[in-house]
Amino acid sequence: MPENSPTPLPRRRFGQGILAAVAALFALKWHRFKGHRFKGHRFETCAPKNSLREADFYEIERPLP
Amino acid sequence: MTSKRVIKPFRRALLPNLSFRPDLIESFLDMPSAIVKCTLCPKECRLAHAQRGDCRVRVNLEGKLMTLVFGKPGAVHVDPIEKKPMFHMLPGSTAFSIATAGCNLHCKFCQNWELSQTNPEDLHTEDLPPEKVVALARQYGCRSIAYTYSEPIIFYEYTYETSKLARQAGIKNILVTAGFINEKPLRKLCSVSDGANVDIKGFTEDYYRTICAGRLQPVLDCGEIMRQEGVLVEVTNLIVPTLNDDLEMIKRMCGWIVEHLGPETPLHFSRFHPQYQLKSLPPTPVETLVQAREVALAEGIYYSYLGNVPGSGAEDTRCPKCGSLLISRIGYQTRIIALKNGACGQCGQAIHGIWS
Repeated sequence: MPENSPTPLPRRRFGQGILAAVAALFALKWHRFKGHRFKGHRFETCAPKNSLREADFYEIERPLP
Repeated sequence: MTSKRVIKPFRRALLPNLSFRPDLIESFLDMPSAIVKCTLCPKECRLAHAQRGDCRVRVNLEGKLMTLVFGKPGAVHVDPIEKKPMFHMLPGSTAFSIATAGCNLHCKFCQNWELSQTNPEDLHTEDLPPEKVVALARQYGCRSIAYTYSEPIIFYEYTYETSKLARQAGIKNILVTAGFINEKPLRKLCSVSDGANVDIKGFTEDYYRTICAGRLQPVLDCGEIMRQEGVLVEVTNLIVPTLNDDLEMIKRMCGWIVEHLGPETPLHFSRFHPQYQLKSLPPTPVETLVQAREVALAEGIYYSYLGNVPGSGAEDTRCPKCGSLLISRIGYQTRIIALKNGACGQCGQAIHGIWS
């Protein structure tokens, strides 16, 4: 760091803070996704097997492609 | 390949709630999938692969609609039957009460919101298949099984299977429900149900839409169908100050009950306590409840009760003909005074209910 010069450190820290916050948000989203939220077949691993049961009343609007 | 593996999950994770537009979800995910329509309740959610319904407990898994809560109740209790409230069914007995996570309505005043407004995987649950529920009900000497606390409609398959077994074992079944269900599943459920407490939360479509995220008409239809199918119906109306405490509205509701369900249908006015998203409102003044009860009696309802107001004297059952005290209640303490074989011990008037 050159002497008698304004230090860029605070600004860099500010930028790093924003980056860290964004990364944390993505990590949180990722964690939720990995856990149970959006990918259906993962229910089979996180929900107990015996609680998964086909429902009685539904219609198939479009079958599996 | 690597970028796809990294980016695609993020795209999914950032997906907003678009349960009403499966096509948008598919285009967003760049992935076609089977679409199913749940026909259990009037919301009729259309779901792409991996999507859950509005109730949080029914999910489309590769073209099959699955329930996530069969045999997994989040609340299991032995309660007095008066707590449901069912005042005209086996008074003084206990009801084995079960509930799972989830609900198809989202009432802002929900008193069981920790159960009803949560995902099943976020809740500690018991492993309790239908056979075990019936065995436990017998073990604890319960004469009925109540499907209650959250909403029995959304754990429909569990309710139905358990009710079937309970009936074979001579145990009665009680639905404590908001009645937001389609006709076909309801009729099937009625074939194994004995009693129901249907919550009419308010008597305007606007109230249902803004406070409960539902509709009124299907609830009214549910009451009528239950009556046609021979289920003993009791009605509860939770009075929330400033939102549904209008006596004119209560009068119209009572008139509808007399006309469509019969004047012998017991009507419970329940006191609101600040809960969930309506913590800013005060508890319902007792005078409001008393006035509502007076309106109900004036409209011709035979049996009107006040709930969550112990010791008010408005929990007792009196003969609609001679006024004799038949059943005395203070809180959950019940004493049968002059009810004999389902009739008034003084004048012989038949009293509506299931008494044995």
